[in-house]
Amino acid sequence: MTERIKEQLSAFLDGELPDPESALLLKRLERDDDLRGALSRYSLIGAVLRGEGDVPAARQVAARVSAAIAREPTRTGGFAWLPGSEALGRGVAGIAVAAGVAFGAVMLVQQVLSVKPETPVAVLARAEAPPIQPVADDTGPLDAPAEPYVTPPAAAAPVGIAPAQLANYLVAHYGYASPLVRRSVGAGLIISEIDPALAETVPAGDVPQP
Amino acid sequence: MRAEAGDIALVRRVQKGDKAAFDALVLKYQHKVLKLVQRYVRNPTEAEDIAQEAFIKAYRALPAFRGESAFYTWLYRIAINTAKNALVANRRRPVTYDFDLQDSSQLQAHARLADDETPEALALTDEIRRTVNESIEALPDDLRLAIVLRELEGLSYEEIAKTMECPVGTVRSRIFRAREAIDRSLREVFDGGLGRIGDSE
Repeated sequence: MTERIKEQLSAFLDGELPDPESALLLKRLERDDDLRGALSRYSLIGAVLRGEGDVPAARQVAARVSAAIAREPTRTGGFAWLPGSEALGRGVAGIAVAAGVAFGAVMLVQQVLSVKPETPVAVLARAEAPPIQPVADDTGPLDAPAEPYVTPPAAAAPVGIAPAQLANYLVAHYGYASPLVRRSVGAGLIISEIDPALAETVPAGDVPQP
Repeated sequence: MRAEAGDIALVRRVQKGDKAAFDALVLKYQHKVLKLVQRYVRNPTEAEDIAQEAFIKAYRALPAFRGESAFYTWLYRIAINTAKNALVANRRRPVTYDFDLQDSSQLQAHARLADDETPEALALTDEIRRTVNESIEALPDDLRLAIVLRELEGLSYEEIAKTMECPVGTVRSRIFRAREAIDRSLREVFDGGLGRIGDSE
């Protein structure tokens, strides 16, 4: 520790050291115990002159605070990861889990709806479609009118999860989903179980024309 | 630049994640904070705990410090609140006496122990005070005036330079030489076995 460094330390204590030099001095303070001791004693001299400070006890304060601060998370940019923020972190994690469960539920509903044979639209389309004509010969004239497209006939029983099971699943996981997801999933469940008689309310324009 | 501006610069560094800057603030204010806390709590060990707690609270709260008041004023309030809270907590603690209240000698001894002012601690405090005062008296006039204007009057280097009619660089040098002369005597006190302030820091 040179005289020049100690003079900088003295000016630093008084807030009279320019910023660039202060930055270098702080780095030196981190690793130089003698310099830290000198800063503490220079500070003590001022305290004694002003009638402040109880010296013997003050010996331990800086060392203990320094050790405690070293264990603290680094705080930058005015944002502090304070103990209260841990609750926020847990909340975010909970939302992420809930969103995952809700997403899974939506995908499941969509899957069930996509394989469900008797959708209202399909029922309506089949009701209006002409009966399928058997093709007698694959070698017919190329300019013959094409067969109208109709939805393939449905399987006798629904495939996938029964609506009752799906309802139980949704009820069991309802609490994890956001209100928006609850509404969309609930609406999906209602549509999947709609009475075929109500299918007539579907606008005619939405039905594929032959 | 005034001391407050220097503190603010250090605070900004802490807010950017520089823990060494906070160490410097602690080294600078530990004696002052401890003295303040001891107005509320006489037991030096407990006072030291409270001072430590106050500094840690200040560190945690520093991201919210906007510099509208001086750093020490802000730290001062934290230290006082911490000391007051400790006093309230102490009142809730049951007091036990394991000595004979009829024996006045034991009562006096207990009173001294309660203050935790051991003979060694009292001797060290007296020795430090005496050493600093004697060293100040022994300083050349220009050095003594410079450090008194700085430490007791709180003048900036520029103000001292005007008062002493000399360049700011000379003021800086005089204050350093004054401190260094006093520190040489102080180190002899600490190295002599009464206390080892440098060792613990």
